[in-house]
Amino acid sequence: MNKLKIMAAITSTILISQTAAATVPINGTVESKCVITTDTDGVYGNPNAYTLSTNPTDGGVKPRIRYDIVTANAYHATVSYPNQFSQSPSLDDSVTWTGAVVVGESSDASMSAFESGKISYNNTVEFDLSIAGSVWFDVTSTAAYGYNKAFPAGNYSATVSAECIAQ
Amino acid sequence: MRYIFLIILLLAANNVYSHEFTPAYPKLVPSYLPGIYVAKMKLLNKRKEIEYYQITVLSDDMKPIRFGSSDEILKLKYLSSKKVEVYISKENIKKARFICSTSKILKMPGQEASVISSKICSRIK
Repeated sequence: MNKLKIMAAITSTILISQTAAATVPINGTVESKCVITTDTDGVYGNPNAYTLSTNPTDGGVKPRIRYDIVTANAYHATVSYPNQFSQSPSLDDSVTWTGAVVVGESSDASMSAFESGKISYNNTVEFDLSIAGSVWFDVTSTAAYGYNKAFPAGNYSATVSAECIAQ
Repeated sequence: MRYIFLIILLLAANNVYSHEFTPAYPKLVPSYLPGIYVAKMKLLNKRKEIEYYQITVLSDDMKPIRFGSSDEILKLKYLSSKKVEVYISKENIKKARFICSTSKILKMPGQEASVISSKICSRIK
């Protein structure tokens, strides 16, 4: 009888130790990817009759785009501010477009290098996304009509292009 | 610390819309059709204001390359994803460098906001 009790105790100990040693694996893969997020759609303010501007001092709202980069040196970002309206009333005079793209915020202080290393041409700005994390780009766009000519009444919209190209 | 900051920002951003196109480096493998290679891509639409995306195949200098796909322009509902197969012929493989997805913006009457177009390009390995 005692032998049976000892055997049962040993068996249960082995079973308990086996249960305690069981592991549950969690597997995951981090793959390189770029996510473009439109944080804020822009709005044109109308500080005077002949200007439309996304500048907050002009009553506008700057479009803000976030790029999430999982691995460094895998992508570069290309952001273009508008150089034409995608929707507007009929315009019989020329529109002068100006704009800028700047790094607004970032998840890593060293991402300030994106701003100093950016390349600008025409209405496009390129950033080398050499550091993983999130970065926010603020876009400014201004449209001036003719020579101080009043914009016709109506709805105006323009498109900001945000691209993420794998390197 | 910076990851905690990133997580807090991601959680706090509850009114944001995004576009994902993976993998970053797709591989072309032989398809069931002779002389035709295929890359399998996945598109995720988290942009509420966008319903259509266009798939393109581009060369090194961003010029369009002929390709085949069941979904060259695809309708994708908010918060849904779709697997896209891109078929490229053997003679175009050397020229094809990027597979891109671009959000398509529909003109909406009464809209005053500036609209953001997003484009993500994966590089063919």
